[in-house]
Amino acid sequence: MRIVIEGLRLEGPTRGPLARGLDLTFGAEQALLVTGSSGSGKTRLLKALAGTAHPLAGRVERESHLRVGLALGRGGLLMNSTLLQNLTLPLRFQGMKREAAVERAEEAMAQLGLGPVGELRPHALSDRQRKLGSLARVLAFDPDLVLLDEPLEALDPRDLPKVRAVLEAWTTDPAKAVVVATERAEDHADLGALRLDLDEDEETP
Amino acid sequence: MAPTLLELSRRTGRAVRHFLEVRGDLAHLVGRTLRGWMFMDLRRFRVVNEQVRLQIKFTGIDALALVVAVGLGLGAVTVIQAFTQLSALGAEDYIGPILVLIVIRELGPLLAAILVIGRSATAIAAELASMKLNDEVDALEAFGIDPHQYLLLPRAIGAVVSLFALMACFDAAALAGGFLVARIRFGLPLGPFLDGVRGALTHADLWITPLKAFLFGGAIAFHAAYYGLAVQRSQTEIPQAVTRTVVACFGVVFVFDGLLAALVYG
Repeated sequence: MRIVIEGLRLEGPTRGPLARGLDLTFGAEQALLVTGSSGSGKTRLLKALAGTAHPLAGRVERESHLRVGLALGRGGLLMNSTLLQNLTLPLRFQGMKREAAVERAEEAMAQLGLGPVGELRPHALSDRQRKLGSLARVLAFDPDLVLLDEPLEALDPRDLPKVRAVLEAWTTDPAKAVVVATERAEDHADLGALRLDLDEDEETP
Repeated sequence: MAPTLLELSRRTGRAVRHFLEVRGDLAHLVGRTLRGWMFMDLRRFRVVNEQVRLQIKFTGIDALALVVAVGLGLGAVTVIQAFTQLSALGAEDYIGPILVLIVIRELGPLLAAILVIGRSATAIAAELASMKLNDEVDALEAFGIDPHQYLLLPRAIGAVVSLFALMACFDAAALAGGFLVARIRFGLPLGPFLDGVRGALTHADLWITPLKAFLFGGAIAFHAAYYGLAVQRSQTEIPQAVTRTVVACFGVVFVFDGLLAALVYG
């Protein structure tokens, strides 16, 4: 798996690489940590990598059959469906039978401590549970490209070991590429060597 | 200061261009949705079908009581108004044909469509706008779920199927309401009433109802989806999207209705 970003410019940022045009290549078994202040274009970059945000210029090249999992900082879960339905929908849409999808979703929810709230809709969940629900959806989907927006935000200290274990499993999986976008780089000090600062004023030589 | 001729031309040009852009975007939306339907495999169809059933329940079944009540009332009022005039002329037998002309041909489909615009088009626009702002649409797409297949197709099928059923129920209720008043108030027997209705119905009346359901229902669903998904940033855009949906749906339904009346009965 290889993801090539060429001259990517996105709507919004007025400074940094996404205003100038970003070039970057990464692939499987690599974790990219994207840092930047609010409004620097982190979420938009994740959406561009997911193929849902259209660039002003440049392009993102990736294999068309790549399975992508996206956990956004806020929102993203279908409000008219239960958490369990949210987790099973991508699997069922990819052709998995309902029983197998439910089993996989329940495993993911159990791993993140969401078992008791599977039948609730997102509006009935706390911010913390929604965040865990978004991560559980990615976990159940088992994508090749994992895109995470502030994955540790809004979590309780007791959630951190579980979520860090999931993140570590993703970043050490040789078949996966992981992109984590955050304002707090210090929370992800253990993440791989590939880093991108969207607040950077000058182009790094 | 009054706008100059040049300024008026510019404004007209902008309005025409905007109108054509919206039609182009709508045609693109319809095309993508139909393509998504044609290339859908069975397992995806099962998932989409669950959404179709939900849409039919909301647009059709939940609106049934309201549509029947309005139909009964319209039929009854039409007969009360018409009978007074007709009885003076000794033409009471024309009650059935008048109900066919007024209700089944024109007001039935139109009022059923207006009720669907009021209940469902507004809900579709608001729901999709809210989903767009909550990043639900982006998340679906990221996970490989085509929003045209999962969001638009069920709403379009649901609107067409429901509208057809509601039009049929509206017509039946209007005939029943009309007959009840004619029977109770004016003593008209069932036989002549039904004979009058049967005599006035043409073949065109039978196929034009499903055609209207298809055109009106499709137009309502796609306009609602278009304006709902057109929101960009703020919750304040949601009521604007709903208002635009209602205005556009009324416009397109009346235009289709006028064109069909002119082509079929003109």
